Amino acid sequence: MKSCLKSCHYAFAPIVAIFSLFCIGCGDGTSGQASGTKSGGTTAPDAEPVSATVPVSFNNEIRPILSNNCIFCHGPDPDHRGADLRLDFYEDATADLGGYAAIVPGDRGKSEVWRRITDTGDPMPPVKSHKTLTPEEIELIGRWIDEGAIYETHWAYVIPERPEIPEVENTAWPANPIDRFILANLEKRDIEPSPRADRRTLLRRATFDLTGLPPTAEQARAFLADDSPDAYERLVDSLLETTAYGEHLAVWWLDLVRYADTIGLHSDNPRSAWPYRDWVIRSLNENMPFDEFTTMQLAGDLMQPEPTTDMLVASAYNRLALATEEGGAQPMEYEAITNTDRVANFTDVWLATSVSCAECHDHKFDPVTARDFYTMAAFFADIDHAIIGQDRGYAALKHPILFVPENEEQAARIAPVEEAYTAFLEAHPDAWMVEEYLATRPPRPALPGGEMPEYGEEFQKILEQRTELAKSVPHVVITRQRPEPRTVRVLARGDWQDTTGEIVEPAILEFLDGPVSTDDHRLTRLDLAKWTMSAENPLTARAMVNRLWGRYLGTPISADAIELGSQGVPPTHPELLDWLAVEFRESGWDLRHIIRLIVTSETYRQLADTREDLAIIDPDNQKLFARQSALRLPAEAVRDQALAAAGLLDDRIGGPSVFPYQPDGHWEPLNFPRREYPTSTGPDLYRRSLYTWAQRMFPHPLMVSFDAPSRENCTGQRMISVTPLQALASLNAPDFVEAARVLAAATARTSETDADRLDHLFFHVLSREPRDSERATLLALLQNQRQRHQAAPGSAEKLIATGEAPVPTDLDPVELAAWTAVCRAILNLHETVTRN
Amino acid sequence: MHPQPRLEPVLLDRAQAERCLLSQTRRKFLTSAFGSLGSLALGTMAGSRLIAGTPKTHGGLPANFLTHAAKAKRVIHLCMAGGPSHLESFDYKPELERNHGKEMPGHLTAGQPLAQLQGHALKAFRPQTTFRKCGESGMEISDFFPHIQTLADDICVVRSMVTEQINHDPAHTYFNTGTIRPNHPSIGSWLLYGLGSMNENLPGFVVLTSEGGGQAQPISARQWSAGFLAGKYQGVKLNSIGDPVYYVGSPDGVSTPCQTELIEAINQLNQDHAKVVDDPDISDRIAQYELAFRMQMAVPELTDFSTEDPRVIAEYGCTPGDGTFASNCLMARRLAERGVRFIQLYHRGWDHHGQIKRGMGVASKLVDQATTALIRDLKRRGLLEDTLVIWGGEFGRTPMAQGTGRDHHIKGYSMFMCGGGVKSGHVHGATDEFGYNAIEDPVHVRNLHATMLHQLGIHHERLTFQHQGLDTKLTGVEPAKVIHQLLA
Repeated sequence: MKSCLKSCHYAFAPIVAIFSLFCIGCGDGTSGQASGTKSGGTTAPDAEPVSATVPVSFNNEIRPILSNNCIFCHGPDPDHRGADLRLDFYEDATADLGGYAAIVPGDRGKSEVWRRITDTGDPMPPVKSHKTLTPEEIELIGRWIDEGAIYETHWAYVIPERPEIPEVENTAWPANPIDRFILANLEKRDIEPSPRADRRTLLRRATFDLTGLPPTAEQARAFLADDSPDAYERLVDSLLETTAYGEHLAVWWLDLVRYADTIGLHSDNPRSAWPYRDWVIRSLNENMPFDEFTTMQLAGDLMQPEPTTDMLVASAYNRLALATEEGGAQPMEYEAITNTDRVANFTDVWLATSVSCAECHDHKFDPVTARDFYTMAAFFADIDHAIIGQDRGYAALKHPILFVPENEEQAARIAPVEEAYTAFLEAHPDAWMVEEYLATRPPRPALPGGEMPEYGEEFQKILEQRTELAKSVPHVVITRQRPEPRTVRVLARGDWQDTTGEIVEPAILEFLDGPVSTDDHRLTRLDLAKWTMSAENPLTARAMVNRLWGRYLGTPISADAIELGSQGVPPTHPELLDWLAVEFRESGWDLRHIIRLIVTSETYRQLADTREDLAIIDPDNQKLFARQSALRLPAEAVRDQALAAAGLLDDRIGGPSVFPYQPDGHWEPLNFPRREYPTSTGPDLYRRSLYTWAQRMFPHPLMVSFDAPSRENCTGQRMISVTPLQALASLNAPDFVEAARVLAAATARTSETDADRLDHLFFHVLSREPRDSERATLLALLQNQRQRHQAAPGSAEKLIATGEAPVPTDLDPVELAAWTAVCRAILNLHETVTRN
Repeated sequence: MHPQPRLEPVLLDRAQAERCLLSQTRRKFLTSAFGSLGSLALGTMAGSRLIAGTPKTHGGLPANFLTHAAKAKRVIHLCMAGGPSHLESFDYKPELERNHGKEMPGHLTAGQPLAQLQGHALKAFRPQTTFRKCGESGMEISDFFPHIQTLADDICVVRSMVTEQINHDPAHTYFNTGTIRPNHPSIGSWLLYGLGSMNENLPGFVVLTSEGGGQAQPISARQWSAGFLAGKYQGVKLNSIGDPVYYVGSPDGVSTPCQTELIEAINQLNQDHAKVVDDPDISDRIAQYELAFRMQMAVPELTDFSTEDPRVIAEYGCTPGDGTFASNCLMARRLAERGVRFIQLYHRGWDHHGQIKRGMGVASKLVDQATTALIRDLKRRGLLEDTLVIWGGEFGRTPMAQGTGRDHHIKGYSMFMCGGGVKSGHVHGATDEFGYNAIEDPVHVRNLHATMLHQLGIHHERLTFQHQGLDTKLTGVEPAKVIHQLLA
């Protein structure tokens, strides 16, 4: 392959995307035909014009135009190439085409490109492409040609170097380097950062962001009363030390790696992975360095000298791909589908560059070839598992598994069986094939020597014993290496039936300059992990800090949390992104350090209120970060907050997933087998929502309504929507009604007067006193609801019986019902479900 | 005062309008429209439709995708889940009769994907029922469908459907989203995204399920997911047990006035809060609580069949609300009347690997009369002309026997459409004499998608959403085309 990056004329100039900051027309910079990331599109009427003395930036201005309008036909994919012309790198674009060239550096007039994009009769892009260039875009291309047509490597593929921290005039504002990057950009435009949010807002913001839980009334009182200058920093430190921190951050990671409790297709049967989820929580709480965290997941089973239990549990990552047990599923097809799933997840999470399109064709916009896709898939070809599993017998275990006994009794029970099992695997080098055979539904893979070996029957008995043990002893799917990796071929057009393609061995995407397999050494997942966390990989550090930024500020610096490739969004603050990336790497991959830096910055601490002066240039706070963003809490936090406020929240960490209330019949469309939702009882009803059973084909409707993903694929940043179904859920779901009535009972005991009780309740949930108008509204609601329940005998008793929590017998049902309404109101407030 | 964005009405599609309103004028709604918001009785506030749930992550907007006048306003998809046999419904193949029990011609089957017949002998299997010529067109319809036979002059049968997925789960996903990659929007979500809802008091995309006639294949919520589009575009499953829509019922012991008062208080408090905090999402939330309340009122009205004429109910042949396909058909008409954009009924009963004769008999009895009643009912009420009804499965079944049944088949199968500007009394395409390959005018699923969008006034290449850097669309990356021969 022709490596465009190695050969191209490289002059990385980290110019801030000044122009793109002002490309906010009505479509917010996304005018459809060239939707996404137009630089130089419609210019808002009051935006400052770009000075003609600033050179045009290829990466920030030209690349998006080419990428959105030209590269589909004049790019890396030979199948769609028009006029045999590539415009994605310098040599081709400037090549002599027989007396003329597409681009003549320094002279737009002699450039064929210029002639065609200005030709109204026969324009480029062609009419039938539905793409058009704006006059501003055309002029930018002209200027860029005149200035020498300098191509730069796509910013994300350049190894980040620590940029200089910019000087700022207002030296009093910055709390750390992050703020200087943000402020320097603001000062250029004479924009002030927003004032610091009040203490109470900061308390709620930091507590929800770091722990996913609300502050308790005691925490609120203590913090609001603490007027020492470092009170906030100490708050952040104490939050980072809570176990809730790891639980909350785990949700983010589990979204990325698409963790769930089921296989995700057809039967959608269970696959035990929760010990992996618990390992994630534990590792994040221990602040395991991110390189180690990565290596254990990708290659825990290969770690030297002997993988520990934790390493094996972590290797469950490789087993989180979707799987099917559907009768008639074709093994070769699902081998291809699993490859795609694994490559897509690895590249989405760690590289933030989608390569899945290269399954069928060379990437149209980035220099990723189809061969790259398959060499990447080959890294995962050694993973032993049944391609098409079965929901019965040994197959139901989704082999291979590791028992993770919870106590000595369990350990003692598994010991003899596991000993015999291991002995068999050691004594018979082909026993793994028998195991794979038994774990696969017909048509099955080959047996050693074509038939069941002599020891087969005895071995099968041990596997049956394992199957039996797995019913009572916790276990987790793990990665185990096949002695012989599966063959990976380049599939023409992704056609799994084509067996003529080149057989490939593992290699890093060619354009990224990583290692390749040699005759002496076939690269392993361990090599993949090493390269991923090496300084030669330009993407991983950026990908991680970029989405962390989005987590705490609302939008990542490069707005797509899983796409940094050329079709992604140019970063608003490229130097800040690089500075954070280098800081992350040089800190020893210290996640907590980066999070602490962001959360203790003044940028983070700004008020979230929208501002008149930003309404046109940055209405959604995605470009300047001159304020915070008010964000609806994630699904888990919405429910957990209600449980916490009621005092119902069970704070046990980890363990098998639980089954909180779910509407009847939600699993009715599942089959093979049909299933009843096994609603939990007692404390398991009140576990943090991250422990809710994740049924990929039917995620919990409460979670879905608040935008929790199905975990079928990588989610880098959740959407935040506001819908009527959400309102119905938090108004009427038994989880919320029960929390409200339990909270109501607690409230009724706090004081003698309604007003005092209300103040207490309000502070308890929202860490502040109600305003007079709020007090009046809620007391009126209380009074009216009393009368209504009084007038409808029996109604109060019904309401306060919602949920499993005991109903207090010493409180007047009508009183309790009326306060329940007040609690429901407070739990449904915009302020309650929003962190601002 | 900031300059208003320049809005060019001709070029401004719905989604752009939404975006503009959101980013530019949300705050004005807050200060003006809500300045006087006192009670739910205020009713629909201007623009509430445009305010519903906005994604916060970035994403492109489609170009002007409404390129022509729409023939249909809504779609009813009667999804015959499991894959009904085309060879026992709309595609009569006497050649199978003649070759019954004989090896299938190798040129048809060599190298072709198989599902459960992998590794088995491939022998032709005769039609398990009789066919008759129906209507003026004389199209052949099997005797499993005596009612649909009477619709021969109304429907447009496609005998040359082709899909790419040979197993149920991926084939449904492919039909609904145009790809088997997870997290892509389903048809109904694309329609809501592109066209919006016609009745905000009800979900704009409603799914119902029923079963009977064969093993009920699982149907994933993925089939009505909004994928990477905003949550408000997702389909809502209407349940026959419990709350018809999840959480739509007030808690036990809470009367409607109690609930009204509560929601009013919440909105009053949110409105007060908006005076203190400058957060445009507050207005969104107020609007959504209003809508939630109206949905709480509208759903019981929707599911109250007491106003239905008993003769109409008899025509469908159901006890309303009993969860059968027939009851769901009656509900589909009620949903259509109320402006629901995309109505999808799954009948899970067509996976006839064995005993196809018996299975077809049961499934067709559950579906035939009700389908016919629905189409006639829509026609009578003048709804059929702008409602596109689509009937069919995720694939067809093999001309080869699998014991006493047939396996999954993707190279040629049948569906039919009705209303919504498609031809009536028309047969499009054909399979070979064995019913194996679509050899005449094949209609790939993506072309059916393109055609359906066309009938709704949408240019299928322009209704796009930028996801991971790509302008993604229902019809996918391979070229798709509108099948004009299907259109009246």
